[in-house]
Amino acid sequence: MFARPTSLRATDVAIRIGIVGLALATGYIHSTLGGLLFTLNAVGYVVAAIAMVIPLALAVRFRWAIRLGLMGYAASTIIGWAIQGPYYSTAYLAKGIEVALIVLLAIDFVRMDGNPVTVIRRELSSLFALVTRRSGQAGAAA
Amino acid sequence: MKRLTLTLGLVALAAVLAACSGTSAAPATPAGPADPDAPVVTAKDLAFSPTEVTVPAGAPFQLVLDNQEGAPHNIAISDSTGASIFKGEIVTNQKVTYQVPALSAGAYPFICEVHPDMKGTITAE
Repeated sequence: MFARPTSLRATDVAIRIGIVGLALATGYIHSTLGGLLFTLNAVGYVVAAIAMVIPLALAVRFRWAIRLGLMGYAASTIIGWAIQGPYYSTAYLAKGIEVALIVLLAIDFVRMDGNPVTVIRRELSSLFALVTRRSGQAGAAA
Repeated sequence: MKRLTLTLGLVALAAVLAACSGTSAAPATPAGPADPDAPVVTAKDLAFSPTEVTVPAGAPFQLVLDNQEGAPHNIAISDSTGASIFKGEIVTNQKVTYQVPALSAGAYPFICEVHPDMKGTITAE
């Protein structure tokens, strides 16, 4: 259930701390805005921050997806704000944090997983192989 | 790789610094002596009270927003077509007096820009 300890370098640890800190910071800002939408947004950031560091084997295995998901989540938050606003100092601060978060996630992705296109191709082919194996087993059983 | 990391890191730092230097887009307008008879709109529990406000038509007027909660609110007035007429400063746990430009006779919807579900109507007559 729990992943074996990995040997992260000091830079990797610093980047991970930065990601968690920025995610919690923008989550906190959203939690102070009131209303269901902002509260759910804040909860999303907190869950993603936990998923970035939790030492569960499943989370470690799919950390690449968590990174991409959090990048997409932050990007969609920025796009939603750009469309609807409001444009004031706290919002600019939150968006700056989210841009920094996306950049740090991109750095983390490149350092940990490499080329995102290669990662997605590899994951898709392993998924395809799994599905093929399962359907082959089902066919043999029948 | 180190150069890429450094470059992306500097971009992140610049983005945060740029964000911190951002200023409020909404105008702060608590200028001039306060009108004791100015209508007061209270923001509490993500709702305005009252939601119907009457002001004199054809003359600038003061409008007080009394935000009684930690969530940020303002008053943004538009005309019947949705075109923006006035955007007040966004405040938290604060009472602010807006100097609103003259409105011709009619009904003008207003909202909180942060929480567009908070709505009301200003009637100029």
